[in-house]
Amino acid sequence: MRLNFRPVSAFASKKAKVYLKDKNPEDIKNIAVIRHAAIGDFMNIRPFLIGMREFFPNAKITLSVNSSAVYGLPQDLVDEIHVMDKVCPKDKSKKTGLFYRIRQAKTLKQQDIIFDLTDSTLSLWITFLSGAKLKVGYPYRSIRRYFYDMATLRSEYVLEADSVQHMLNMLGYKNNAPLRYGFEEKYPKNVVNQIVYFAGASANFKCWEQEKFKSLIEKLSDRYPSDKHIILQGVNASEKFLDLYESLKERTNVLLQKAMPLDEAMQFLSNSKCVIANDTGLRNMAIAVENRQ
Amino acid sequence: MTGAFRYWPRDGKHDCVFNPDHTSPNIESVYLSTVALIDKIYAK
Repeated sequence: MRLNFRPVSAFASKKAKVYLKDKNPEDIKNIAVIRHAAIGDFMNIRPFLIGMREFFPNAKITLSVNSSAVYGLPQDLVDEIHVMDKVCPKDKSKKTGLFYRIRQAKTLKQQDIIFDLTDSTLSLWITFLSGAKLKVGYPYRSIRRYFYDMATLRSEYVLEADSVQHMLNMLGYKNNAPLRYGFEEKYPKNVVNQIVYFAGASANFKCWEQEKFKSLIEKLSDRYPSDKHIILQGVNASEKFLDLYESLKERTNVLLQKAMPLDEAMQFLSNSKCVIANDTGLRNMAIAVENRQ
Repeated sequence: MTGAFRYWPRDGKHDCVFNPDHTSPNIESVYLSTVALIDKIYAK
């Protein structure tokens, strides 16, 4: 493999160049990907995992995840899951200790290549302890690139599902737009006349004000009277939106939808005409089933 | 503050309504963006 980059745009050590010099993608047998994240981030890495499987056809792919956030993990695109506990499995109020984490990190078998898509202190430790022959990073801060044999910086101005693939591009992978999330068969589109509103977010300060959501739903339910306008509830107590629904329930085309199991929720989003949300998790789920935002 | 561009596919099927000064967008902006997308994508 010959590296495809300009020195100012990415980083590769001499060790990386030597390692890759006599390798073809077919020679790579074991790859680990570290992604300790929530569901929206798991959606973002699906095109990367699909591309990786194509580019390294003989590689067994292991995904390292955080046991506190496994909802929506892309199990269908990897061969094995490696789990790290940030909190004690028996007492969720306690964090796990350093030695416990080191022991768990070491259960990841030696890899040909490890991709650190998380860029946290813990993921750096896992990368370091993995003994991988090639360590590839995707850091926020340029100084962090020195922890890896190869690195591409992540950009604030490029879609993350796209920029994460830069690491594969550096190795010679050619991806063609549009992005593929691999849900076409699992959640086939059968668009019905429903517009979905999700007024939640990971923190209250990130939410668009509920009064604004209310006015928006009023205007859109007038504009599209034959569509169902569905306020979608989330799993958290703060995501029930009962006050919002109460103020609109006299409108016969405004409905409240309870939180659904993941597969049902994905199909529901796939079938929706439009999704309006300020939460990146739900937004990435809708994008992954090629919905309109 | 997380920027919008990282989460916004610019393929004409999605829109992200935000103000450059990080203030909350007004109702009319979100309404007009939604109508423009729905009418464009689902126009008979």
